Amino acid sequence: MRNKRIIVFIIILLIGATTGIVPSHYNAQANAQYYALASREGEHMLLARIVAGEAEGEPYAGQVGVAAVIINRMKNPKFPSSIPDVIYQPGAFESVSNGLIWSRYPSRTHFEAARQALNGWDPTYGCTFFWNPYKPVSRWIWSRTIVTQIGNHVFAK
Amino acid sequence: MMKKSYIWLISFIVLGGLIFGYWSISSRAFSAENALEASYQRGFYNLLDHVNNLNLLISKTQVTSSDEQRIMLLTTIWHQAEGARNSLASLPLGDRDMTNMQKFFAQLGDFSYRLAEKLVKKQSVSDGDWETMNEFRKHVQSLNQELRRLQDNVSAGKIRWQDKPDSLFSSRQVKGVGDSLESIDEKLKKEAPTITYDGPFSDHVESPTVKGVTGEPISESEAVKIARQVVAKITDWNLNGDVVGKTKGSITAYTIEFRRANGGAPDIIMDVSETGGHVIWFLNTREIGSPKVAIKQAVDNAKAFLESMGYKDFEATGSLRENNTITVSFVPKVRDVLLYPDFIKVEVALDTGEIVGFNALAYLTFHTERNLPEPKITEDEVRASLNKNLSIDRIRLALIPDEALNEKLCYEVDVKLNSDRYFIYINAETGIEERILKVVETDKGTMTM
Repeated sequence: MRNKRIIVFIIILLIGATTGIVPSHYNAQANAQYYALASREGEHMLLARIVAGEAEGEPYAGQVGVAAVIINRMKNPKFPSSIPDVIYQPGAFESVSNGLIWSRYPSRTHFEAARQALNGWDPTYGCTFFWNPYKPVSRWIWSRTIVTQIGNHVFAK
Repeated sequence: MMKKSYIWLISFIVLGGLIFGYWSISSRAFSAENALEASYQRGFYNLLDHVNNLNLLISKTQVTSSDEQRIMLLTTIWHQAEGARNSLASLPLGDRDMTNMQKFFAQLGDFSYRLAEKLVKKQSVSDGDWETMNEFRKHVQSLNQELRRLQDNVSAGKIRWQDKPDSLFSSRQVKGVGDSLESIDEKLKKEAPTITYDGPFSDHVESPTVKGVTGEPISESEAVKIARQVVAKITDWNLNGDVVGKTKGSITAYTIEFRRANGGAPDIIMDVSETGGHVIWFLNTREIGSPKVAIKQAVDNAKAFLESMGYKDFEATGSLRENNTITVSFVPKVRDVLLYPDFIKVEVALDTGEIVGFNALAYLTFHTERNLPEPKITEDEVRASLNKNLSIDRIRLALIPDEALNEKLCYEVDVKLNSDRYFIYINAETGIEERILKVVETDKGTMTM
């Protein structure tokens, strides 16, 4: 009786496992076409998180600006060359150091701002720095050329 | 008596608990701190190693008389310079200016790669190029010496990347290494060469000359008037527009915000150039409902809007559907040549078919009356030169920018291999294959990569 139960259990397990495997195998083939979008979705998520961490409560253009700064850094020889490398450069962003990037879940607006920056909208015209002028920051940062202020952030090259 | 020992017991347990709690937190913090310290040390030693290798490799390029050897050395320099760049970025120097050292490594690597490319293509390398390389060598040499000096202190354990005393709550790095690295960066800022060459990290790529902004300067009120005319085309809402600031980017612009009468967050944000009053970009930030408009209708709307803005003879070259909008890329077609550098993007909401985004920054930056060269190669020659396994769907002329913003007249060949689609770009003057793009069709639109 007990043996029977074990056999039935094993059969159920096998069926479960194979049905799991077969469709996922087909999915893998179908998904090959979606690599372009998948890597973009990862970047999108990370960008939305940094927008939530750094620009919560800022006007929409300011949120697009923060996401654009990350993208501009990625293209610039003065900074690391991928979106994750730029975001996780030690000490580069306050919200990464204090964990806000993980504790705040991005809202619809944050995702929209990140998406529009990925599509090439850049209200900062190529800026690679932003900071809150009402908070203390390293002195050298003020030597940058300021392009614009949006909400509580100054954007500079 | 009984009561007293009871109190003793409780206070003993509480005290013991506190001690255990502190010990477990601090030991966890201690091991986390050590793990972090180890990763910083690793980054620093890797940086040393890469710079030392760079020093060696560059000097060898000056000694060799074989081009094959030189190509191998130059590509290894590229690899080592990228390594140095990554190692430097992994150090906890975020609140200091390290941008000049970063740029130095990026340019050294990129420049070496371009030199190797020239040698592979049997193009001539000028004396100026080797002189630039020699400049790089001098800086790498002094960088190497200064880093060695730091290394002595680091390996003697005199320097840690994080502060020791208040280790539980602080990760401020020790001043010594940071200061030294910062002064090296400062020195590079003053002394490193400004170099212009054919690569993406060349100094001229960062701030290209704006060509498409023409006309007379306009006033604030004229800018608002222009903006208002555009807003009237894209929404039925009654909005008030005001200039909220002036943006001094690559193009100086008035930033204009449109709000409903009851105030609140702006619905539409737009930049209008001070020179000539060109609309550079705008965004409508309204929430977009579920899609009701067909894709073809949305693309037609985008085209019609573009024409109403005075941009005629444009062709849609790609689109991306995301959430409830579609973003369509358009490029101008002049005498049957597609001008890819001058693209304009238009975003359409799929709930009402209204235009919710517009971006002409690339057009305004790069567009100009060009003297396009006559193709020296015919379409038939292109066909004959292609891989025989490809089936050719279409050939047309296109102007494409390379990474260094040089524009090249090419034949864009739309081909299929098995069921995969590619664009191959063949230089119409030299016949060189300039680029291959793979076309990925998804339910979200057409992407090239």
